[in-house]
Amino acid sequence: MQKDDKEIVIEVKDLTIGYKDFIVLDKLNFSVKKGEIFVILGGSGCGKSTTLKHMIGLFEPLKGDILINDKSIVNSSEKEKDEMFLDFGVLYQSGALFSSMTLAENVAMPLKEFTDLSQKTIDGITKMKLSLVGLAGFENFSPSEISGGMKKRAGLARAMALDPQILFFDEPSAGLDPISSAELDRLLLELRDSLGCTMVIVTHELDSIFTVADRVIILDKKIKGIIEEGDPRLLKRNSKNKWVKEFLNRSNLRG
Amino acid sequence: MINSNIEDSQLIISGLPKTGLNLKEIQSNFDHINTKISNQIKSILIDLTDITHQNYTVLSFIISLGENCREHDIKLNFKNLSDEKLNSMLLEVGIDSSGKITSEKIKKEKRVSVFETAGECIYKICGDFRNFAGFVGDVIYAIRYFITHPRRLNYQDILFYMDKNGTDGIPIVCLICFLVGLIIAYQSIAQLAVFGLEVYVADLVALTLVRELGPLMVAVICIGRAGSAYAAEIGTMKVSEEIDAMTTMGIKPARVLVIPKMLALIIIMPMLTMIGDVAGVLGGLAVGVPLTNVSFIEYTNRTLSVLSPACFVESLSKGVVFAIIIAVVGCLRGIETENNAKGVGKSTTSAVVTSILLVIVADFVFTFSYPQILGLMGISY
Repeated sequence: MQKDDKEIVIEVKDLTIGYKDFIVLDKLNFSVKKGEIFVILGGSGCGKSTTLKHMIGLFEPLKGDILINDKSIVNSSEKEKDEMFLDFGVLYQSGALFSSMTLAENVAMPLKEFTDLSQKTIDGITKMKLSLVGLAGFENFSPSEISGGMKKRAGLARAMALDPQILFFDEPSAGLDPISSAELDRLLLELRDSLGCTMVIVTHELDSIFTVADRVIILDKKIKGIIEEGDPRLLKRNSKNKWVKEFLNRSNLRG
Repeated sequence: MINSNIEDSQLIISGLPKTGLNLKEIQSNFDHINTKISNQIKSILIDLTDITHQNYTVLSFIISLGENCREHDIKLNFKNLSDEKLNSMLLEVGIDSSGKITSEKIKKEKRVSVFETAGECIYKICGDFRNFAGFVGDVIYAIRYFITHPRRLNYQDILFYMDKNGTDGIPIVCLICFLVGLIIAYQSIAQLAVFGLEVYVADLVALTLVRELGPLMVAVICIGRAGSAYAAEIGTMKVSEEIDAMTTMGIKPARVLVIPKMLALIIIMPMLTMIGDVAGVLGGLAVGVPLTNVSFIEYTNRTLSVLSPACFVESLSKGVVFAIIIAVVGCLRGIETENNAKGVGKSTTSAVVTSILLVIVADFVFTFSYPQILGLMGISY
């Protein structure tokens, strides 16, 4: 498989993020290819979640540009942005399900909002998506009645409602027990293989990185940028950077 | 207790326990050393024999001592500092083994000038105004969208909020307006009786309640029941990332969250105002008839004759205007919520305070401009 020939879906150019007088990350450059599971990695507080929120257009960067399918999410108008939002789905850290609605209503919401499908068709799609993430039979449960892992899976079903080609994940395995977390990883791989989605994941769970990631970038607080990039399995053995090697091998983390 | 001797303007501390210190011991030793620090002492020498980096309690004792030394301009030196790691940890907290102390105070107190605070205040007010204008723009945009796509509107939501904020509020509206009518009547009887004008109590109560206090009281109740609830509801959604999720799904929060709430309030508030007006007039009647010589028939006749249709139009229009203000402010404060639990409380408070302020201001403008507008249309008031 010639990975390098694959088309680039997300491109981040000279992205500088931070607050007024405090730069968190300086001049980030990376790209994500089609069908790839791309992981943004780094120690706590290095700005990985913030980077993700810039990529999905929630925050405005200080400088730089982010292209999704060759369209800039930074410089686009409200209307163009609305169209771009339909190209990707986001799974938030807490699932971010609408707590006043049932799971089925949550999944159906984007379908109702953006399509002219009849209620029956929507019901069918909703049921299918929920069973895809292993939540068949939970359609009428409200988010407060289900566990954290189920919330994340329901959030994933909602993110996939409109069959987007790109999925973003903000710490998918945070707060999950090892088994649920492994199940979620398996689900991600399954979805990638069956639907061919591109996935961008922010995490620091080493186990899940080695299971799912095709390529990682590792962000560092001190140099305010990317310290290492590549296949995590290779980096674990061959990285020239001592800190990266220790991070991936989970050894002597106090440095 | 740690040993400390003074030798030619140097305080030597030794015998730091290898087993560490407990919290009480840290304090008592610190106090003990402090009593020995005086103007004659130029430096402190700490003997670190047998102390390793794992002895955190001793390290924290040294840090507190360092703080004091910097304040009194005393050098801090170490003897037998053999552990490399301890040395680097000391450096990390800003204590150099050569005696320099560069540690920063944990809590920095910055003096802020009045002008700076005033500037920040103005900056914040401008930001508030800009946010408000932007949000109103969003809402108008959403209204335009629903005019062209009326079927996209969630009518169930509107009914839900009408029920929650309207129907459930009827008892409290009745009670409060009845009591206000009662109070106004009682107070005015005392004043008007002096001139023998008790018969005008009916006029006064009817006009005050219908034109002014009815809409205002209902607005205050709705701010408490609906406005604060809107802010808290949307604020909680913001904290749990639901608003973010909505945005990245391409769904406009103004469309889904604000418009149904606003429409519900616009429909329900004039109704509540009407109920409040009637309750208030009845309250006036309850005191006005028994406490004066005016008969029941006379009282009702005066009330009915003084209330022109224009009064009711004023009452109802005020209800609509206040409804818009309460819904917009409540939702705006909700969306502005900071991402923490405190933020929800803050935005709820702010929603209530801002709504009350804006409602009063709007009432002021309305009360003064309404007769002028009627005048232009050739209607007497």
